[in-house]
Amino acid sequence: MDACQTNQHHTAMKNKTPIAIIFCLVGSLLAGMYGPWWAPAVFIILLCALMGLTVKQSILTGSISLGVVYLGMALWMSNQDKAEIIEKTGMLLGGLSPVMMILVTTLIGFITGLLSGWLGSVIGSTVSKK
Amino acid sequence: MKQLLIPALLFSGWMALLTADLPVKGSFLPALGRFISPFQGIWQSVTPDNASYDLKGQTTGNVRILFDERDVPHIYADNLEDALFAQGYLHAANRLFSMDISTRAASGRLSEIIGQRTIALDRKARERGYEWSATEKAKHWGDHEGNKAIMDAYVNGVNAYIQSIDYKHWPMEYKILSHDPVQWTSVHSALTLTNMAIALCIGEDDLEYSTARAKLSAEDYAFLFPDHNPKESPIIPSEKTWDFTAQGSSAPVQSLPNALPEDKTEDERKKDLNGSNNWAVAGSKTAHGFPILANDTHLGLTLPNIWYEMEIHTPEMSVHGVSLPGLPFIIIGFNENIAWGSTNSGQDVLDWYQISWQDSSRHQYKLDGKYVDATLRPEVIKVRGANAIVDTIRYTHWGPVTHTDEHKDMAMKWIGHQKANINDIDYLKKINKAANVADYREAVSAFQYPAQNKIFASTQGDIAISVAGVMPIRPAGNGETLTSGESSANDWAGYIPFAHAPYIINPARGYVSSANQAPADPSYPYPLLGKRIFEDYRGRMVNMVLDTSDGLTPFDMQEMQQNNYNLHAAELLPVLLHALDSSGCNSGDGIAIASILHGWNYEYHRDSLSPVFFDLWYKEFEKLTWDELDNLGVMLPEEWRIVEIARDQPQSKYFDQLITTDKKETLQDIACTSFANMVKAYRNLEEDQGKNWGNFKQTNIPHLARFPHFGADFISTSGGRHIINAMSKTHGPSWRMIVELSSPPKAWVNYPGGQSGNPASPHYRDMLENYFDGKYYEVAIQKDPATWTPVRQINITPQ
Repeated sequence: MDACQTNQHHTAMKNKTPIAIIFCLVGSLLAGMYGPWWAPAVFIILLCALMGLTVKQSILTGSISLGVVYLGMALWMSNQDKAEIIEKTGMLLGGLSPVMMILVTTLIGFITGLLSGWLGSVIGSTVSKK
Repeated sequence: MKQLLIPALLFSGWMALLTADLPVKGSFLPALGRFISPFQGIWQSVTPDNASYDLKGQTTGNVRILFDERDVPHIYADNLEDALFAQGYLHAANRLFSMDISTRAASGRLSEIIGQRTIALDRKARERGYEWSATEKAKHWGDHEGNKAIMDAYVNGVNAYIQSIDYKHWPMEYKILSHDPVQWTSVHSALTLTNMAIALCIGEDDLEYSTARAKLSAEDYAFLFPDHNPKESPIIPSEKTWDFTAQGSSAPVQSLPNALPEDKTEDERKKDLNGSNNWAVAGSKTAHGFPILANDTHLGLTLPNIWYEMEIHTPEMSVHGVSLPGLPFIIIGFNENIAWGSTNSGQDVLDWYQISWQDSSRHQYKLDGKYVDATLRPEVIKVRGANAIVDTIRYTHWGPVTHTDEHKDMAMKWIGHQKANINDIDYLKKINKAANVADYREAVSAFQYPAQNKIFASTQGDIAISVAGVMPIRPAGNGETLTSGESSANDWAGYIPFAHAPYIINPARGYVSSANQAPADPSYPYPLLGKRIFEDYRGRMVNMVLDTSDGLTPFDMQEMQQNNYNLHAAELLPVLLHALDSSGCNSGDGIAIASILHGWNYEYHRDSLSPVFFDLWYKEFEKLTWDELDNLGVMLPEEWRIVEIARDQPQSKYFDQLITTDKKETLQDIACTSFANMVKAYRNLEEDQGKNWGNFKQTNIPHLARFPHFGADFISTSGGRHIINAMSKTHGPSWRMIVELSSPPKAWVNYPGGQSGNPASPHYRDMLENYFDGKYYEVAIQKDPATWTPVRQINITPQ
């Protein structure tokens, strides 16, 4: 691989990330809506493995996508009743405020996406090596 | 492959963490993966499930369920079974968690979902064999014609809803407890009845009576605990004559006044009691010439409320009222011809027998001079997050034997165990369809336990009240105290025949009423146990108001249900104030307080300050008066007794204080000391609490599972103990209903809460404000679905 090919490869890989994030956002949203709670994680693993993303790209894609999806959904749902129920539930769970509940939700989505992406990337590279 | 190891391990570990319920400070954090998922978990619980939709059900015809603006469903079905399928479905859709938790409480299965905190409750329920009796009851329901189809339809309806929901749609309590809803069976329905029977079965003070008899002289006992209040105004007026003699044994038996429990200073009477009020007034006493029936049932208040309001239409009946989720039919309500209601009779239907074991293995016990085998039943109490507890409950001739609390080695003889083979669904079936007074009497003859005062009024102009339910006939002297379990001669000698149970139809005084007071005066041939269970003042007050009223309207009945006059205060306070004034001991702030009390009208209004003073003063006065009893660990007499003694015997020995040996105190001394103590106690109240009665009482309605913040935290309310409006801190009228028996009948109803069990629903507590403002909703039976516009609807078609 010469220098020119390396640059082209890097550019192509770079361009993959935003596309992967868009796929991941839509896919994990749909997986979450129609599958069990762990379906978005499985989707991210498969996506990162099949797209051949690097570890760094996969971690970025998975964490940002699922974090954003969880954040967006949490904001959307809490807006339905002005966060009344979430506030009461948060109090029940040790006094968490609605903002903390949203942050905890986002964090769980973020970490789940991060680990799923990482695992997907490693599975992808392991399979392609074989 | 090596590079796969770390992310795979981390991912697996993270997912395992999100899938497990985590123990935290004796409780459990639900598995966060699904709980916090915004697609499935608690976030999805913020949307109320109040849409219109169609579903396929196990019905033979089409069912339409139309909901009005309060979300009260009106079921229109082609036959009874289809209607009950829809009722079961609606109960589950709105009260699934309530149904589950109440049956778990009765069966001793709370620890399965809550953990170690509820083991003691479960152990008590298992020891008392509640689940066993419910299982027996459910087995026998099928023996009676028509009941199996009824129960199957209802149970299928509940399960149709349970099967239709996934985790995303679970009631939020299940998500918080991380517990799956379980399939409903007829045993669960039987447990619902058992749970209500436990709540209403109050006569459990045999040990207190034993202690009192053992520690007091016969003379003192008779003085403090007379059988009848001379001022009592019984449910059945004295015009009723009893043209029969009592059946059963009158031979005295061996009771055990000396078998004492540990000193119990807690006075059971202080507990909030599940009492109620009802009355029915004949057309001759009403403004419109129609009978009017009123009923308000006093229970522990929770959100969601214990009741679920609904209307059911089939070709054979159109009925409106409240149902009890877990059971088919309407429990209290009205149809096109009659209205009916209930109060608790408070009859003693539970006795304790001391068991004499042969040895420490407790396998055989003494009965009639020989040792007989106890039946051993293993009980496994599953505990969330801990090992299961295996216990063995011993069943004797008398019933199950407890071994953990003050009833150690005592067998519990309870009406619920004795009457397992009964047809108590029959009562509900018949009363819902009743069209006249004969149907009503036929229906109440099928009612079983615990004894209740069933009131009735009809569009034909009849009114009636019956003390319904099986009441044991005991050998003389038995039942009030702990009894020896060594002789079967001490056993119940049958039950009072229905024809002999107190009842009256169309009395000359133009009304019937009950407020848990004595059913009949001393001329009634059978001994009725149950004194000291309820106070007499509400009953006297209801009858005083009705005796002096004519031209009554439904509006007057609403006012009466919210009557805040405290007859107990009205009879005691003048005596206390006179003693205080004549002693000349009052000074400082006390003079102003006494002046306020002198001008008080005895109304327990939420904005009034006087009830705070009287309540504090009475507590101090009672404590000082009964210091001897407290010292002995003896229960306190009924509250009317202290009024009589203060009024008639100001020099009574009970006013003398144990702590002062050099002086003999009188009423004047006790009035002074207790008043001074009250002034101090008032000064020590927090500022807000001392403002008025509503702030002092601090009424709140907790969530059913005591989840903080899901209840109503503080509501300023009027009323209290001894008052028709019996609203206490967490206890009070759980359903208010007034029915004018015009053709068709009209009704005014309300209850503290709302129709939905979902805290996110606008109908979770939408009736609360109106309820506490004393407002009612007018309802009438909507027989034709085409004549009104529903807010939403559910259509069920056969599968």
